Amino acid sequence: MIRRVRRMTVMMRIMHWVLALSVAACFVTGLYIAKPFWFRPAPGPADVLVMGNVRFAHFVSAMLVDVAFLSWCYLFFFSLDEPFVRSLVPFRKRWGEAWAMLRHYFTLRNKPPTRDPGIDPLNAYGFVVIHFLVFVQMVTGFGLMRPTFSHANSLVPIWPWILGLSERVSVAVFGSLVAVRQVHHLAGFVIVALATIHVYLQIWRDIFWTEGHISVVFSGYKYVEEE
Amino acid sequence: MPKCPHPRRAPSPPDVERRLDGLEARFQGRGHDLEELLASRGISRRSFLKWTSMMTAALWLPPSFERSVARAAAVATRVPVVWLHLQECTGCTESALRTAYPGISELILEYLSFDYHETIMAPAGEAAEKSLEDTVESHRGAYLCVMEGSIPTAMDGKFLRLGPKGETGLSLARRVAAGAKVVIAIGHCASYGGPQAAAPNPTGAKPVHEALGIQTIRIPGCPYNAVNLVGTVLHLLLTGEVPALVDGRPAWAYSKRIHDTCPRRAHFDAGEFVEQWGDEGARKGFCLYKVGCKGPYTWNNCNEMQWNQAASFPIRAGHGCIGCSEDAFWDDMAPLEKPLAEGAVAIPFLKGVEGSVDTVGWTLIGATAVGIAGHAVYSAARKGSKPGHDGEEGNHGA
Repeated sequence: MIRRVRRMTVMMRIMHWVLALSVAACFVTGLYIAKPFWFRPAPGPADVLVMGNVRFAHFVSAMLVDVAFLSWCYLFFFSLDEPFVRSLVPFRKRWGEAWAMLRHYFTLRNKPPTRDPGIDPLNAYGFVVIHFLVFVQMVTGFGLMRPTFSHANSLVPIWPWILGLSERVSVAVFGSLVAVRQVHHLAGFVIVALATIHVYLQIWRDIFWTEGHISVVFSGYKYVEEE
Repeated sequence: MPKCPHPRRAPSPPDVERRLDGLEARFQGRGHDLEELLASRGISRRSFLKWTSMMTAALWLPPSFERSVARAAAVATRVPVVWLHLQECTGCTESALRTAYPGISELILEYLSFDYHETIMAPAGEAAEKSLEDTVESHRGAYLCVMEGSIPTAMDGKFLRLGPKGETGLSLARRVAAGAKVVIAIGHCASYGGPQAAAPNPTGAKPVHEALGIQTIRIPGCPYNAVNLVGTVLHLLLTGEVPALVDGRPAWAYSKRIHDTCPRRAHFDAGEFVEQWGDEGARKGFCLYKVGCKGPYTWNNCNEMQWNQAASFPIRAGHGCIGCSEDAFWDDMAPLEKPLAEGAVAIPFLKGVEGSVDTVGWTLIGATAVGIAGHAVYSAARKGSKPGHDGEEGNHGA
């Protein structure tokens, strides 16, 4: 008999896709901003604003990433459905489970560890790492944005303060604005590499575990065979 | 990089006038008379007043201060100045002295009352030393000390010895700074250490404020702009106070980013870039970002004040900014003619090996792809060799 198991709420799925699409948009636009890769030699009238639009897209998608990130932070602890923090504590037990899962991925020998409900701890650790990197991008990004930011167009008074704080913190941590810029650039690649691994693993699980893992992020359910 | 400048109370006009009265009385007859200097160069009173308006606006003072700025400019050529050359190339001095048609800022700078200036002073040897001693003694607490160059601190500063007694730069700077009203660090070297402080920094070169542990007013740049020094001196004379600083630099000069006031900024936003030197984009004056302009990370007023009698400055002349007013620009902003995405970073776990940020990033993505492909093949092979493997699976996590 096949049982339907609820894995993601509507909000989680929306946030997942917002994060996925806006991270992708940030990466592509970020590559352009770092080193503009297409060139329009003879533009027509003065309606051309390639870099301006790309930067605007970068900022808007970055804001979406930040909103999704902050929502995840809340749900991480306070989700009524399934706080992710439960996949990380007790630390020793969960670390053992994550390690077993990692071994399974590499050897395919031992039986994969089971845990129900909740996401598996390895996934949860990956989730924490990728969100830590998103946090780094957020702070360094705000720090890099501060110099271009005019206080005149701030809607809320706390906004200039957040940008200023981000700049001070990121410069204090990494040494200079140039270093901040390099970290921001590199962390983007790391996030994309981790996201690629994540997508691969979900497809892999769908194929090898035949529980419909791809379905989870669209319908919210996976399907478990039971005797 | 600057933090938000602190808003400061504007100086009160009567206080300023009283201060100038005092300074005029104290330094009467010293140095040069500005009116004579201007006349000798054929600069009209009208030009001088136009310059006064410019300086007043540049210093963020209200227009009513124009008269005081004119008086302060006249005092500026009389206040004793001790100018030390430390570990440096004298390019800062040269850039100010060698102007073919000095503007008023350059003129005032040239005729500051230098009681000690190793490049241009008339006395030599013991006489020069005596001049320095006399100034340090007789104008203690009143003279301005300008330091050009970083201070080597390795081996007790023995990398730099000056004068007939072979005094180390460290000791000389400490002695002169102790009696100065204010220490102004000129150029990148005195402000941030300069190329001599670039890794691995064999002489232990440090900027003045770090080597001596004092507060300095930093006027960075390679070389610095004469306007920024003269403006700072005027501000000191007018108010007796150090101007508002951001990151140690006068806010009035260094709180705007090159990128934001750049005459080529519209081309940046339009996505129009010089791809290589001399191409069509270069002839059309497109943005220099892709040939390594570091304007987005540099705070200075080159766009407004410009260089060489306000004739031009690097970006206008067709070369990107190299970030010469920023801390550690030799290390941070290299290679100077490539965008930062091609800037070198140390590759983790490979000591001493450098690659560009992009190379590191794309290698990471490539390695991930290779790993994934390997794992997929491995998984498929194992599944093919073990039919029915799926059946033993239980209920997994998400």
